[in-house]
Amino acid sequence: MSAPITEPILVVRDLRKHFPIAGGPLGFRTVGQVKAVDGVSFEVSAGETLALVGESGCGKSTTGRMLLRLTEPSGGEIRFDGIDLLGLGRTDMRRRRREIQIVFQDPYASLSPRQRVEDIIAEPLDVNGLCENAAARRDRVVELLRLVGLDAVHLRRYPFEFSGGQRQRVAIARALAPQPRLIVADEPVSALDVSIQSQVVNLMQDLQEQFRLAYVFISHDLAVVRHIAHRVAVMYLGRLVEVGDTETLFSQPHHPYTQALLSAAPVADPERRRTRIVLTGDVPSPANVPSGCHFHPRCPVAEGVCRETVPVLRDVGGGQMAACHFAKAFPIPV
Amino acid sequence: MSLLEVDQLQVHLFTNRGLVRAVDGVSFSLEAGRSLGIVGESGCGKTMTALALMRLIPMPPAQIVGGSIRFDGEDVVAMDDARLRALRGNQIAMIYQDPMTTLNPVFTVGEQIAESVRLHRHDGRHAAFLRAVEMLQLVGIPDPDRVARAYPHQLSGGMRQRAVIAMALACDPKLLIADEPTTALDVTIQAQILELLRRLRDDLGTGIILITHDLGVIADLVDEVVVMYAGKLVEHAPVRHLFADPQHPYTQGLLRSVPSLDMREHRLKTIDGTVPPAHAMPAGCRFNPRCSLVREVCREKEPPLVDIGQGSRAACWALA
Repeated sequence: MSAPITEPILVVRDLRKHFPIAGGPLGFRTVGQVKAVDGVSFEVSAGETLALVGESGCGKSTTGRMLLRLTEPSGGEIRFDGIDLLGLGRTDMRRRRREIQIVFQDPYASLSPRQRVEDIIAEPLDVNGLCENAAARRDRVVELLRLVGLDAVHLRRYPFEFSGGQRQRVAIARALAPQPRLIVADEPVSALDVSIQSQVVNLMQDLQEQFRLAYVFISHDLAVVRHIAHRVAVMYLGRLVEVGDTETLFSQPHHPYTQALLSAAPVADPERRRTRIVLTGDVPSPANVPSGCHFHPRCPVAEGVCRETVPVLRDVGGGQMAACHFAKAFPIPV
Repeated sequence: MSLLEVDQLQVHLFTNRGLVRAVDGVSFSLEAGRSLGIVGESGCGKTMTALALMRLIPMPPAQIVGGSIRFDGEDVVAMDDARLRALRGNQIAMIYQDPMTTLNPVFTVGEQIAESVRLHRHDGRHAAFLRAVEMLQLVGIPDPDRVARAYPHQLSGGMRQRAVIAMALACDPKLLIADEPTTALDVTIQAQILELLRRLRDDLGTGIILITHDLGVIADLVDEVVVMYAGKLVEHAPVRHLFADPQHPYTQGLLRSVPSLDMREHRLKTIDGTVPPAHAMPAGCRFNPRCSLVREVCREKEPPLVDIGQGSRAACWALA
């Protein structure tokens, strides 16, 4: 299963977000910077899913939020459909967001407990003035509910009357309402039970096929990513360390961090307790990142050059890119 | 004699909306140095079962209404409070999902580990602190002397969970109950913690009960598995059998719906429907509204837990 080759609808170049660290006696001075996202570039085409994976604090969610300018980037470029999003004023950006929607991790937090499902789903329609009258609005909401496997009987209900999986369906229906072309999904199934998780993943795939949606799928769950993504971008401490087609990246990871990440993922098969690459130490604080390659203090193959020079993301063959001085194909141990 | 024997355990919740049978007739046993996993989805009663083992269930609304829990031959259900206090944190220890809420933010990590040592072993302040440092070293914390003097907020998530494990192990418990110990952690840190638990079980002979919703973690660590659904034990089997040849339709569905890291299916398998609400359980087998093999008898009578060979048990009319 590979994505159709078309012009990318989203092009991200050198995207950066640096948060200032307040300090000094009164907390007015800036004493440092957290480089949450530090020069990230990627592309997504219509009908394609790009997964952003990495551990907590790697900047994947910040990147996702910046695509809608929910978090304002410090620098770089985001081109959506050829238009530079960072050059748009508030009003133009708001109009543009009709085409870029987001689904959050926790449907208990992302749906207002005081709104009925009908109003939750219709909000993007109201904001963008997409419905002529109340009847059209109602029809459209019912249509959306059916799309996500719910029903007209749910219209008048409140979020608390739903299970976690159903709530995430409501959140997806809301995202679909203004007919977006790109959906940023930030850990959309992480809060759900396994049997419900697979229902929502299937739903997202069906919707993608039906509407040729582009997804930026943010997740730390590699098994889900392998299933849903066409391409994968691995982040570590604000930078991309490896980008490639899902199949290639999972079978032949080139960056030592990707290799460790894949080998650390628990596999639901006791016959295959695999030899792990267990990384020592923790992810360093993004406020105080290591010099050179960010990964070098935990890297099993690091040498002197890694402490000094930042490795660039370079082509390692087969359409795969890796940012490592010693990148080489490495079948994950079984 | 087994280290732990749980027989027909029943925990009921007496709520405003009616009676909830949170744990309904669960039985299993555990030998020293072995590990047992309890797996199931939210609300299946796995945490309630774990809490009941140390009589830590919130009373009210919860109450152990039936069954027995024998730890080292002693009946936990009948114990008085003094005996329970002597047991908890000493011979049975527990680690919870979120290390930040387990640890007290205003005491150093070392003081918190030392607390249980002073309480149960009557060690002096200094001896207990040295024991705390030793424990931190055991769980693989670099520079344990410094970490023992640190406050929880100064440590990373993985370090905090190690400190919690150090605290649990400080009095050499015979049984360690771990409730989702790696769920809040990143995958590379999770691998470190699982490695640590495995080493402790093998080196110290600590019995481990691992509660999780993550089948990958189960496959990684435990010897046998109890699968729970809506308060019932539906299948109990050695880990290899369970993953190679699951017998109960719920276990089968659960295993099928996990996406594989090695190959890619066109569509993920699912279990239709959702878990019924706790106060409105269906009659008969609680899984019957979601089961593909449902028959008339499933809607009328609860299936008995029967021996299905190879050391496995399952509760399903199709197997009875």
